[in-house]
Amino acid sequence: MQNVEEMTAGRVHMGPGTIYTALNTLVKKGLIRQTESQDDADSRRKVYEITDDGRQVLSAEMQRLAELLENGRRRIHGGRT
Amino acid sequence: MHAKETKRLVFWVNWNYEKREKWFDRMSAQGLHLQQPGLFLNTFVRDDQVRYVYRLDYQPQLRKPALQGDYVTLFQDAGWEHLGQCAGWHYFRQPWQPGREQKLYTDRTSLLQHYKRIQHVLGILLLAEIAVLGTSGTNLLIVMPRTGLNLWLTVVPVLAVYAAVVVLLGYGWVKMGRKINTMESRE
Repeated sequence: MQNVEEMTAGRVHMGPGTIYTALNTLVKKGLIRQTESQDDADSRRKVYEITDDGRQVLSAEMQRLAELLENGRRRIHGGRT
Repeated sequence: MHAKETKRLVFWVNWNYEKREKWFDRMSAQGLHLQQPGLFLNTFVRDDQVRYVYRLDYQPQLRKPALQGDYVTLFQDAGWEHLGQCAGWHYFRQPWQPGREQKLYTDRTSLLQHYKRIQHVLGILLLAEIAVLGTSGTNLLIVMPRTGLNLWLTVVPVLAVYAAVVVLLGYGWVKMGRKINTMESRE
């Protein structure tokens, strides 16, 4: 949660209910999974890692966003279309 | 100084949980802070030095403490104190911070899922209650002439209570459905 706020310079604040729901949804969709290795400092904390499916979905989304960004750049900075 | 505890009898119906949160917030602003939630009896502690914000989360699958570990830890990491659980409702609080949005659900999708979870359970209870009303109604009416059960003293009051529960659940289910619909149409 702290990371999300840092990554977005405080723009995005995620409540714990939202995060808990998102984690459950991602697990259900098979995009992340719980790792075998638990957080040693606190066994009550679950650790998740991205799955192969998750990586695929992520790179597809990155591609989509890159395309969007590229189109935006062309529109703003002129140039050939 | 020993904090003074008071118990208050409050009965709430499930679907308007946001009203419940606001009520606990108002109590806290007046110096009465919920300490231990209960189905009817809620324990409050008086302290004029603090003020909390209360939030509720419905997680009916997490009634057993053994299942709550990572869930509660996640909320604690976000700065929420877990007060306990009652009929699937988890009670959280954190010190009031003026000007800051203090919410458990910060996006529409997850909030909608929360509402739907509540409505789903209301729907199941409603169907079960309708079944109970139907079977006990027919049973009582068949049995009554044989056992000499009094229609107005026994049968009617019992069925009236069941019917009232059906109406209450139905009302909650419809209200929640409307809330979900307005939220979904506000795309």
